[in-house]
Amino acid sequence: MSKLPQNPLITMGLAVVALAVFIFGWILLDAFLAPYLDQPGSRVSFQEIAQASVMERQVSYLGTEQCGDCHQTILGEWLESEHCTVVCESCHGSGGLHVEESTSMIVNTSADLCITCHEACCSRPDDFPQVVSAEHCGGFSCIHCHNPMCPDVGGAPPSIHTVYKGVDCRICHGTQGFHPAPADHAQRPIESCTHCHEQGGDTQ
Amino acid sequence: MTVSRRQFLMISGLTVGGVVVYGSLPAALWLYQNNKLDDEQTDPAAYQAGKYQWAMIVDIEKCIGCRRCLSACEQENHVPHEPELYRTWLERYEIAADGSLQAELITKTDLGFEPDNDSLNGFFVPKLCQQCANPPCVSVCPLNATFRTDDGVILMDQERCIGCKYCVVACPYGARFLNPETLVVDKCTFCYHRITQGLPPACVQACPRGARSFGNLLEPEDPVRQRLLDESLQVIRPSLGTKPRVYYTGLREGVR
Repeated sequence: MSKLPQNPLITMGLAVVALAVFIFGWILLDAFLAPYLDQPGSRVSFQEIAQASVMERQVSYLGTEQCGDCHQTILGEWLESEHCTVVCESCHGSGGLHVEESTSMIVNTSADLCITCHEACCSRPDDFPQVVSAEHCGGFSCIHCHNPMCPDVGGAPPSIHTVYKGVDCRICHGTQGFHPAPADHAQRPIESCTHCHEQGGDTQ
Repeated sequence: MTVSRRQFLMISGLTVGGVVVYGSLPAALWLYQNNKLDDEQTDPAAYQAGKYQWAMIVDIEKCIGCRRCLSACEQENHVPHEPELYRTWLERYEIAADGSLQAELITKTDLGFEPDNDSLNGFFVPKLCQQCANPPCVSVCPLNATFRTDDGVILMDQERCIGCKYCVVACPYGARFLNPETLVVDKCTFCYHRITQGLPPACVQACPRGARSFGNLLEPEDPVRQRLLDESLQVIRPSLGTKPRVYYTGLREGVR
């Protein structure tokens, strides 16, 4: 161990010089590092970085208001209907790409889409409209009678209605359905319906 | 060597002084920079997590099992379209004649449901990450890659996760899965990118029956907070002590 100088003034002087060098060095170092330390977020933890990166993700499910910016007419119709709680993107898919890159939206006209909500199921609340699709329409596309934007048809079809071209009469008038044909009609071929029921409805 | 009392006091005084100055410099620097960060955060456009505590209420009686929430979540969060990978999923329960519950997972591709003749009644339970206030998944992560934000949402650091799946095992609700595309663990974020912009989570927006409601527990006028105060809401498996932030109404015993 080296000897301390006997003069306390020298000891104190040495200590002060050492401290000065140290402080000066620190300030120099800090000045040198400042550009790096002052980067925004430099003191932010990695969790905050991860949090920020989650927040930056793109919204693709836009919401009805944005759909209405372009599709006002159909939005008005939809707002009045019983389907007004079913937002556009529920059936048509998310609109993010549609707005940005004009990709087409999903327009699924098959019954498969409708029955995801309306197929009868004991687990569904009783107050929700449900049908056994096989009995209701034989799995035929719902949009022949129901407009998906405004699905209420105001009850069963009128008693006299025109023949739906290309629609199998038996969907509604088979042995089951809305308005079953008499039992003796069961054996008659489908082509023969219009021989008597030219305009649809009852024969006079 | 002898050191006089005066010398000893002087040297110790200088040492202590040096340490104080040495120590206070970085502390001052740190304080200065932190204050600067605080100034930046007072920007009104910035989201302040401390003002929010997010929670969700799921009304089981309202759910019709239509899976709109599932497809909305998948499209919003780019969840792989595989039958068993979900951020939010749906369970269908049937109550048999003897009162027992039978559960089945509803897959994304299911269309109708085969009615079970023995069942008298049933219900659907939409599930998602319960955003626990006491999350087991956060405790077990060896890399702190999953964490709870100040506003009560459990998030994943996708860069940090190594896919060890400890959290997948630890989660009592089965809310986590290994994403086969990124090979790291994925989970519901309450649509964090949406809620921080003032939008509701995609599943909440998509629900045609309003079975999911979402709100901020720190906002006195918030309907979700009001319901939490007024109604008797339940959580799934409260005995685990995970303190979920997803509350249910009409939750039957036996739903796990």
